[in-house]
Amino acid sequence: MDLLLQQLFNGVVLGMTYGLVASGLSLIFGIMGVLNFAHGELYMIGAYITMFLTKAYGLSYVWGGLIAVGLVVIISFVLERVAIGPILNRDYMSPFLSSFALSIILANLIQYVFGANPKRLPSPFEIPIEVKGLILTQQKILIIVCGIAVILALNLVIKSTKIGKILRATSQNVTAASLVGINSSRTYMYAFGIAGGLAALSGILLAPLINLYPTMGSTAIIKGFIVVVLGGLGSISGAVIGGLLLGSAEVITATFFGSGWKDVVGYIILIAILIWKPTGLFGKTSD
Amino acid sequence: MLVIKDLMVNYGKITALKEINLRVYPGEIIAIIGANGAGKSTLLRAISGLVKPKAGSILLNCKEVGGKPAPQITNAGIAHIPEGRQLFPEMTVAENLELGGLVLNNYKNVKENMSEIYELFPALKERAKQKAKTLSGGEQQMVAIGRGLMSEPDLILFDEPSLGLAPIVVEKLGEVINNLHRKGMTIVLVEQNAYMALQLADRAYVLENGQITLSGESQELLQDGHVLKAYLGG
Ligand SMILES: Nc1ncnc2c1ncn2[C@@H]1O[C@H](COP(=O)(O)OP(=O)(O)OP(=O)(O)O)[C@@H](O)[C@H]1O
Ligand SMILES: [Mg+2]
Repeated sequence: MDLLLQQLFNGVVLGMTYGLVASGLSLIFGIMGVLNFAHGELYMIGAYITMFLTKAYGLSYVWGGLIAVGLVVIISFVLERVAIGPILNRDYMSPFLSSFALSIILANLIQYVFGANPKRLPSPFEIPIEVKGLILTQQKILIIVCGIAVILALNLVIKSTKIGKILRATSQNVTAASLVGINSSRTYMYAFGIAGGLAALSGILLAPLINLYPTMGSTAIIKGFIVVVLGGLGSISGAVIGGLLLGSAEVITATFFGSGWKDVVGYIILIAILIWKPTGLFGKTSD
Repeated sequence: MLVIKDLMVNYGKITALKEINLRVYPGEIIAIIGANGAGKSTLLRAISGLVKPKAGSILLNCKEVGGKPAPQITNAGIAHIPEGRQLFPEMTVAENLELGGLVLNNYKNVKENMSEIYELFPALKERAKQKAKTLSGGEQQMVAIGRGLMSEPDLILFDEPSLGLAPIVVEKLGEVINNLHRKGMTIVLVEQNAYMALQLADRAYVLENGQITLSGESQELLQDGHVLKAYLGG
């Protein structure tokens, strides 16, 4: 029982990072109709930049992480401007293929700079805490707290702020948006920036629990896709709940069937959802 | 106020408008009438920047605005209330109106304009918190008009505002347009309902197959044999 509880906790932690990655993916899809394949690389680059800043400049994990999030937001702006925005209205496939190319370029770039060997990003919060037989670490609690805070903040931004209204308006009717004075290409850039920041944050939070390697982005993006399908495309709350479900399902599977089965469960869920509930568990009725 | 010279608009290889010459003076109501597919909506879209002209010029207060993107034109003081309403369906009535006031710098003006719109269309006030897609067709049309007015435009382009409205609502709409006119607003009115349009307008242009075939004082056009036969069912 304790083992199960422990694993469930780990699953929630893992799921929170999936949810953060997937919410950005979902945001971009909801607003631009683009599946951004390079999204996982933004998650990977966030972790690598933090590692670089802490090693080369002696910055703390927190400061390095914050600066890395900022840098990834700027990188996302540039990527959108250069490789997505200009071909957005052409057809469905072009932006997807372009983001696929970006993902490979970015992964190779990081491999060129930092090498293919796994790297570590230590965090000062890896101190274990024991609560009633459950082994937690501050880092894991940080992931859960940050995840909840960020998702609440994102929902608030989208619901109540001017930029949120602009994002929603653009996603619901581009023509009308341009008639009320919204510059849609700038809006897309903002959406990419926000999503990139979320991805980077997720990578930075999870990195101390895993090894960094240049292909970690493509692993993350596959998980992101599963979560987005599970939660419903375009739904942010769906992404978070989907993330938590997948994370829990993975660790429970690993506990009972061995860790070799951990990644398989996601694909089984993916196919099952596509067959029986293609709109996802929380599909498209969300606000 | 608005001067259009030799305007031409293509959709791919199809020519939708050619050799359009048109003037709108400050404070006027201009009607544009024409059959389905004549190019009326295209003309408004070219003015508001939703389509790029192939050739010709559009001058707003002596400044070239032809080919500028729509957000810039809205900022320059033109409100386009498009065919088919084009609301933000998942947003509330209040949010739709608020977005109409996006080009205003002052949030206080947004609030003031909103209460003016609610005075104009009391039905909207009751439904302020309702999603736009849940409104009736007529109510949605009111939101579209209200959203256009929110930006305090100098020139309003109406694209078939009476479409799908009950006769009594059309009458009310006529009053609203007349009131705007009295306040000094300049209006371009595209209508299927040619009789209503000519009643309201000072002058009118007739569009046929992408070209202006006739123009003049509304009162004269109301008596014109061709207009009577083709657009007034006489
Ligand atoms: N996006 C488009 N692509 C290609 N052709 C178009 C497009 N929009 C309009 N057209 C064509 O341009 C011509 C003019 O269309 P427009 O919508 O301006 O007509 P309209 O006078 O507004 O008609 P209605 O009274 O039916 O609204 C039509 O022949 C139409 O088929
Ligand atoms: Mg039309």
